[in-house]
Amino acid sequence: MQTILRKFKDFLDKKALGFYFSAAGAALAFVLFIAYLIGYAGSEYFFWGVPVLIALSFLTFAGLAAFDKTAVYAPVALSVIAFGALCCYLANIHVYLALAFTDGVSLEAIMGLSPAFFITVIFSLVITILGNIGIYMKQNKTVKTETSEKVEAEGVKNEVD
Amino acid sequence: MKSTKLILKILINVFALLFMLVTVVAQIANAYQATLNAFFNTSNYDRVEIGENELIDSEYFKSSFVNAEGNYDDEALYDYDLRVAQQITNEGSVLLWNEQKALPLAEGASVSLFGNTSVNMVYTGSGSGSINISRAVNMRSALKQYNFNVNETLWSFYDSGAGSKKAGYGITQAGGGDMSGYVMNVKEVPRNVIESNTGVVNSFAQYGDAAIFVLGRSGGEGKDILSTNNPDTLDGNYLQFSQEEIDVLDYLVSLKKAGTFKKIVLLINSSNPLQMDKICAYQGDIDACMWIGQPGAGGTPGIAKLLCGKANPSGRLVDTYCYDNLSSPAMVNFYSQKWGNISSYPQLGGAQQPLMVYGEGIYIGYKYYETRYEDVVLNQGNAGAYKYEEEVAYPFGYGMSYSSYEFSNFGVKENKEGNFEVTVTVTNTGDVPGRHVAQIYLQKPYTEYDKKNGIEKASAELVGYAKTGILAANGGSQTLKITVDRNDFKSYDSNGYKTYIREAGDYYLTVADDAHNAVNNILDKKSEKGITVNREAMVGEGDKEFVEVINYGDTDTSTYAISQYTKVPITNQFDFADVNRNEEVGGQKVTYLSRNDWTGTFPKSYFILNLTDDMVARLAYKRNLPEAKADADKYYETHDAIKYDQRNGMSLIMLKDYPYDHPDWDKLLDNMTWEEQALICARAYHATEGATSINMPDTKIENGPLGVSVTFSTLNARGAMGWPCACTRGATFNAPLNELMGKLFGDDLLHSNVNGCLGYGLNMHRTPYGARNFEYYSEDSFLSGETCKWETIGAQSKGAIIQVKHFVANDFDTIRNGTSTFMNEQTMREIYLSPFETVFCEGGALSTMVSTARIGNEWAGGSYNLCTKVLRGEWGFKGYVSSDYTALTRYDNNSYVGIQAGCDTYDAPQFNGENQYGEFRNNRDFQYYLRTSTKRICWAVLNSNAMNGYTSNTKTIFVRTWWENTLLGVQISSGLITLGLAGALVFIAVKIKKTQKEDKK
Repeated sequence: MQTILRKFKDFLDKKALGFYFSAAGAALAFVLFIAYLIGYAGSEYFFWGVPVLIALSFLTFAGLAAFDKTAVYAPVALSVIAFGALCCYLANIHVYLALAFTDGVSLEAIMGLSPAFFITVIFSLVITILGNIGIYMKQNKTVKTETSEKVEAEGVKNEVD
Repeated sequence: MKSTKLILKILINVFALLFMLVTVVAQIANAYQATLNAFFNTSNYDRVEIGENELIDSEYFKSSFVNAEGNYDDEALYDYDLRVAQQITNEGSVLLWNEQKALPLAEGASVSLFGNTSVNMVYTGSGSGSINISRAVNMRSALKQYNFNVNETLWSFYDSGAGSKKAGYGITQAGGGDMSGYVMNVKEVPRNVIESNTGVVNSFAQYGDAAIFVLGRSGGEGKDILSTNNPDTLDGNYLQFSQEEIDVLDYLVSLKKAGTFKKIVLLINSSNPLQMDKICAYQGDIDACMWIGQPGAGGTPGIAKLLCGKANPSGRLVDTYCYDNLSSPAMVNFYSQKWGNISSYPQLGGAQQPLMVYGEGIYIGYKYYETRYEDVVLNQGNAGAYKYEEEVAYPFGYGMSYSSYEFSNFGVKENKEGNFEVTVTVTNTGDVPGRHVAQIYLQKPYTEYDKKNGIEKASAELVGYAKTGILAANGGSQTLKITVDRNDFKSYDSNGYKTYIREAGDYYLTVADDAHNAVNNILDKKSEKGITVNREAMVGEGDKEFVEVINYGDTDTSTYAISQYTKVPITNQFDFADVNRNEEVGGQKVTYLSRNDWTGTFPKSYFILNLTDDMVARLAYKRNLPEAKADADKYYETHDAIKYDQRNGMSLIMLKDYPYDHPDWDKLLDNMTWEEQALICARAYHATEGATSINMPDTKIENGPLGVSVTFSTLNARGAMGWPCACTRGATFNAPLNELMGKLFGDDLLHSNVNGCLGYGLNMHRTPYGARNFEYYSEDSFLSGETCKWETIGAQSKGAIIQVKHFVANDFDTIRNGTSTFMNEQTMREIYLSPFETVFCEGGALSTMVSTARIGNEWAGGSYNLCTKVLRGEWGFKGYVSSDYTALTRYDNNSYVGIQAGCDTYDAPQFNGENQYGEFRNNRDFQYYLRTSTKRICWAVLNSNAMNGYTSNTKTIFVRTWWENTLLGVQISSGLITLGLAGALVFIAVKIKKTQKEDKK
């Protein structure tokens, strides 16, 4: 157990700020996955593609982030798949919106929309944004090894020469 | 290199997300194609000429306003619209009192306009009946047109100063929006705010000829007006004064007593009858009071013309004005409530919950007040402690003039058709020229048979009217001839013969100034005939000289039992809507109001019914209708299987002027594809779809009943006239003026490139609190039907498709969607269906919009008895029926049951042929329904101005709109750019790696 914890700690120690942004997005995706299943369970507006894509977003993120070589693609996958989930959701939920605004768009009608709608839209957008931020930030800290320091030092020396 | 890579990454991100987003947007846009076409004023159909123009004039419907170059002259039309709108308010405003001839005001009088509404007039209501008021003529401009000097200081105070909207004052007006989300505030500027403004107070003396207070109330789609719980008005009653209004009126009265103002004039700017108890208490202090309805964008100068005496009031009330609006028996069952046992049926959604029983029966408006009055005077019907003088302030049909008139030479003659020709001479006995209305009322006998069989008879029913031209002062006269249809003598007997009958007995025909005057005339005649009349109990006098008694010795149970239009036998069709005749209600009963026992039958509380399993089954929208299947079977007895896509060269225009049952219609319909028919019958969102196979254009059918207000107001560039409200038009009691307005309405449509109108509104003013009373004409069926009929005839003479709405029993707005309405068949036919019958059968309306409410437990559009048996069977209606605005799931795939029942298409932007009818594609019966409905729509289009320009050389083609092309372009380009950028990124990445490798080496 301690080994696993130590490995996890080592894993986190290697991670840069960008990873934490993306990881927050992935955690949110997990929450959204659960919230969607609860919010739309048994509803005529449940579309299987939405939870599948949400799950795919945080699972893919986890898979890619686990390895140094693929970590850079993790926020990309998170962002793109989460946005895809949002698109899939919007492509189907418009019917619900049309019904909700049958008598015109009013504050009362907006307030009458289901919490599940707001949660799905807002969470998906936030996940996309967090993933996007992660894309432009480093996922892993740069590890300066002894060898590389030497090479760099030699390089400098050579240049001086 | 690294910065290039970063830029590429950002761009890829942006374009990839854009591509995904546009892909989804394109998919949604496709579902809302009709909405977007309405928004962008685009169409998926175009026309091309494939040969030489034929030498025929293909402009089948012409505008009356064309300039020298042959183009539509919009400004000339608008100018004429303005003149007619002014004439309507001029003839439709009703003078309620005029103490000491306070009106008209002197030429050049200096006046002060009070009330926030004076600057923010209620020109119209809100929702789909709203109009473009950007060019509305305000009260100040209107008064100035007639040389009044208007107190500018006071105007500025209300317009932009401490009493303005900006400062938080005024009544709520939702404009084009739905009212359901609004609190209908009445925030009149308090007296102390006026008094504290010295400049304003000092201005009064200079403009002291009259203080004109404009009292406004609004209304609109989505929410009925509150009779209780309004936050600002006394007793929470929206149609009552607010305390601030009373304070300001008291202030004006004090200023008048102090000599600052010579007169006070009250203008009531509302389509809903205000409660009159507190208003009438000011009679005397307020010198004159005039109801002006809602004047629309152009009507206010007509009011100014009346105030200065350049015109003489001749409008008559379309509703009864009461001291207590809640005294109407219909009020007890007005705001819809839930079923008693709704909790036992959790599977029912919210939209299926409410019910409403029209427990008052036929007794709405004056038919209640005047009938109970007669029974008090005749000491019959357990009329109880009913005092007419404490109930009715101004009766239906009432209206004063600056002059006085007399009737003479009253005569009634039966013509060879069995109708009655009424003649009466109207003489102006006053010293001001003016017009006058002769109103003809009928009283049918209330017999023992009626009492036994639950037939109700009002003491007076309007059955005819006419208006004189301008009669010269001091003796100018005109003899009017008014035809009373013999059909007006019939009554519907839903329990006995189950059809229309004309009973034996005395029928009283009288000419009168208003409904109350009519009853008094009849009472005077009855007295002469030896019937005991308690004259002490009478309110006002009658004159038997203006009454003709027509006696029938026998009851006629056959003549009226056959439709005069189609010869189809008439029998009960709405037993399922009558609680007392509906076997599915499990023995529940209601007591309808009866003049046989007023006190005992007056509704005491809301009729809450319980659902039964049978009723719940009927609530379901998706059902098979055996009667419709029988029609299909009958069709196939004489026809082969329905053909599609025959390509026989038939075009819709080739059938121009052909009768509806011409065999070539079959050839035309054979030409169409299943997909075309399905789309036409699935989607008619403010439009009807075109069909390339028969070269049928699409149409635009737009809101609304008060003027062309294109769905999205930004597109209303031409600024077509916003006409005065339906009540004001009805109050003119002037059929030629109604027809003229209709013609101009039709020209407005032509000039706006719109082919039809989602109107006129033909529901009833069942109570004063109806949300959309401004769209509907009156509490009286006859007046509603006649006014609408003439407007329809006028508009359709210009090729407009008039879609009369809402068919039927949509006399309320709060939770109108899915409310189950119950009433007995006599009430249904005589009160609520009869105006529609008039407009379809005599006015020739080409379309109707069904109610979103239910008749009994059946959605109106899914009622075979309503949409087929009565509408087509009894009335011979050839046009098409559309649903009201429908979101995808509101009726749970209603199009299936609707198309069987006779609801031909759907005002539903997301519907398309496949999603509505795909599963029935090969169903033989369904193919018949689809073909039948398609024909009805084609018929309406063929008879509309959409065919202008069409000859046999004109082809309809399908085109992609600019917004569809734009979306496709963005989609393709963002996809390609993403791919290109990705390629570039890979290329650079490879290059960097290569460089790094080389560096390492």
